[in-house]
Amino acid sequence: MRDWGVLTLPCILSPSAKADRRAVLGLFTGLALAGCMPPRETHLIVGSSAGGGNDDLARLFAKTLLRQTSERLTVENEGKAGGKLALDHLAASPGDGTTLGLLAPSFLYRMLQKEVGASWSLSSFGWIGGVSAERRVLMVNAGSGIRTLDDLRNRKTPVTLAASSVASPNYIEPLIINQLLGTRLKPVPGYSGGARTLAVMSGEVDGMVTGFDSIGPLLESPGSHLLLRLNSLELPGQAPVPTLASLAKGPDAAALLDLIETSARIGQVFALPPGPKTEALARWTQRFHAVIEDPDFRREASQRGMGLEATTGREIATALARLSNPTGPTLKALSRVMTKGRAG
Amino acid sequence: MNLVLEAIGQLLASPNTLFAIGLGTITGLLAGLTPGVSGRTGLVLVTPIAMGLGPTAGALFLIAFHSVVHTSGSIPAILLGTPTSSAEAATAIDGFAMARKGQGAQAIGASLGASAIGGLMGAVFLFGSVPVALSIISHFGTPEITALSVLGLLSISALSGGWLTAGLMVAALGILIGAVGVDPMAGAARGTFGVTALWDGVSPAALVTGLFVAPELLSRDRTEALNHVARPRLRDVLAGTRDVLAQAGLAIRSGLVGILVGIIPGLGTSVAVWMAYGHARQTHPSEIPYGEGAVAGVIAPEAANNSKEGGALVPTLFLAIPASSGMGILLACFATLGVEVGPRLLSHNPLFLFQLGWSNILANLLALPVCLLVTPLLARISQVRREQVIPLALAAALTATVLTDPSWATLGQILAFSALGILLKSANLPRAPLLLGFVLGPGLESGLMRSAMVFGWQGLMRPGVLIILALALIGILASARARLKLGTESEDAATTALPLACAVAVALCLFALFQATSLPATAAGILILAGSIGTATSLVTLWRFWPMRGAARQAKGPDLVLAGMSLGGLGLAGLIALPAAIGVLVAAATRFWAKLGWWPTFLGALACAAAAAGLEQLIR
Repeated sequence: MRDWGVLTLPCILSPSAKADRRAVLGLFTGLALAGCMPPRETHLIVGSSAGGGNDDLARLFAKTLLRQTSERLTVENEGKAGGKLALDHLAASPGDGTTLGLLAPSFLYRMLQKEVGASWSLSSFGWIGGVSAERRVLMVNAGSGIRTLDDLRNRKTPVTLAASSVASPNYIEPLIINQLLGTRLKPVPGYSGGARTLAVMSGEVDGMVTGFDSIGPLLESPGSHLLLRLNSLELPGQAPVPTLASLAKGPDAAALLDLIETSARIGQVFALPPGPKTEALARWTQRFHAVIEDPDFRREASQRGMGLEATTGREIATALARLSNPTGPTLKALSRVMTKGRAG
Repeated sequence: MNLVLEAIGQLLASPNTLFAIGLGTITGLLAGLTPGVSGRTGLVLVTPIAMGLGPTAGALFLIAFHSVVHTSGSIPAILLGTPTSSAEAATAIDGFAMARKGQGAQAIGASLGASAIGGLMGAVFLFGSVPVALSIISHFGTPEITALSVLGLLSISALSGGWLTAGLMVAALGILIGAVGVDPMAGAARGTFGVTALWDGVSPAALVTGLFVAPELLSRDRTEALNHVARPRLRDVLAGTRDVLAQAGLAIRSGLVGILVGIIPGLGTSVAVWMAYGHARQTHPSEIPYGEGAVAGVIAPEAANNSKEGGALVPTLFLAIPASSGMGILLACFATLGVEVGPRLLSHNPLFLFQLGWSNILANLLALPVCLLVTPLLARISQVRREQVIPLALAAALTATVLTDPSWATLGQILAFSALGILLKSANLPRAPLLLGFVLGPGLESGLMRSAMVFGWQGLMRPGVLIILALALIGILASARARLKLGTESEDAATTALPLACAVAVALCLFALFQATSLPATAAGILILAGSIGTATSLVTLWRFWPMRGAARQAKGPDLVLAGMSLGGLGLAGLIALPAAIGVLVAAATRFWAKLGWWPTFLGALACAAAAAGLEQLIR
């Protein structure tokens, strides 16, 4: 038998080596040719890894778009660095409508703290629209011994809250609450994913700031309850919970409430790269609204627990311009919150 | 009990659900065999199939898929020596050593047998001891998890191959590599050199490829031609599974380690596998030394690998808390299917819960005979001459690693870690402790910080912590006693490359210590700890080696021709499309290194490029 080198591997699987070689050759030649001639694609860069975060929304959006327009949207996950790589990738792409981005909800806090976005301006992106607004809440468990907001205010020892990292909303928002209500919330970073929920459930920490839609099982634990609503969206099926806005005081109240409300409201944001072509932005804005108003999309999104409140691209652009204004109140107020939080 | 029997009765009576479990098992095994398609990626890929099957059958399909994806995942790692994750690397250490001796079929048989035992243990645990499991979960807080990490790090002693200071030096490097990225406590960047892609840490796939795959494939030792090995048969595979039965105690203990680690969110497969491997080396003597083809070194990690999945399903299904990123995707898939899991599942629909448990068991039972039948064919790879396999193995390793995160940063990491792996191999230093430090370091750091912030010193007085630390102390004493009995340490195995390796280790540790000076205390702690230990142990290692340097063995470097070709392949992968780079690398290595004819060169290159293109499309 001739020495066929690496071809020995596929060939040893079959008694008919000659036929097998032909089949293998034909198959791989076809595959290689197919791989060399990819069809024209539109890319959707997603700021989370496959299967997690807003990837689910991206894939549902792509599926609906394919059904509506026959345009194939290839989902590319860039989940590293909390979505910063996705932003960098999007910022470096052409604005002709062949590349879109879907940004993680936490991107706003990161941008405002200059953790990302040093090389480009927020206002230069083409904001298409946002969907899946969050209902941000402060919840505590039975072990915390906290029943009311007065308990929270009067507690002598810090109230520990599970947080993922110092750049995440569940770390920054408790510090904002401290600033506005004079509480002693102590976010503890380093709890990722399921560990965060378990820490609250087991009583290791007193609670956490989180999205209402993601804590169903936690609220079923005896004694666990919601203490505060951080933004104005109503909580379905819940007894009235006071809002942060109704209790906040101090000179930074308006700016910080605006920040929390905007961050939660804009939800998961679709955007075009900086300097988009007007025609591309108009086309994608129209498609975005067509998709999120699609009955099948809404049914599936609802099944998966996604919020369906939408924000227009214009609203997002206006809000981001207001929040990121270097002479505006938000950045200064946030800076004071973080400085105080680090010192505390 | 009635519900348990009713659940299996319903499953067996329904062709739809049986088909779903069978399909899940087969696709899970295929996904495990495919380089670059892990359990997580695989779940995302097969979700559309689950949607087509409907809620109940779809959920059973997903559980079956996820139950067996690790069963076949280690087969390429054993046969080609190309692990693509830190979990597979533990199996590959002894599994690939067995394959090089012509015992690939036995190694796979042992892997399959241990996987089946581990899988069954996990499945039985899933619905056999629910109250106990939930109690353990709720009592396992951050201090206990941190203490468990300390216990795991004690395996360094066992993985050091008789030279503790060298093992500690390498483990310190692993902890430092694990600390690269933006730390969650202070948001400080450590060792990222301004590269955003390193914010989340180094790529585990690149680290494993660099440490374990590159040094073996690029080795100059070409004497391991295996063409005289007898053709693998089913009885060889069965001999491997009989080894598992003969060492059932080890398989069961490793399975328990996997279950314990599995039910605790955040620890992950790698921790389970390396703890089990370390446990085997500490407690289970082997006639064939570990690292040179000890079958126990295959059994322990494989049993833990599969049992961990059953353990991880407990918090996932009963509490809707994903115990791992894979379980997070599984939860998302369930949500997509409209299947509700969580506390209400047990009270509202216990029958469905038990059906999921049976799906896990049936998939594990079905996977064993399927794999046993196919393995003799796959194991024939070990008959092929090394020169013929290496271009293919290089292509598979490079493709799988790059596809985890296609970027220049990944290519750079493959290069850097390959250089480190080749240096450690040349110096005859153990590489496993590095991976152990890398796997356990971040959890240890985060756990220590969180314990301090939430519990203070009281964290040390918790009963669970005291029990685990007592076990750790017993481990230290037992290890010290064994070392005293052993008498001398094995410095004599060192080579002339050891001074260079120590110098590199000292340089890296000093760099970490220097960087720590500009970081907040919470971010600097682990760098100071590991950097100090690494520097001290490097200097002690060098000091002990110095008197015997004249008698040291000559270091064997890599095959420079093949290394050059691989470097070219890496560069091309960054400059042009990955499939084209793979094609060029395979063609060059096959024609000019393996010196095969033009036809096999052309066809091999085309096949590998097409496979890489297909995988690229599949994973995207």
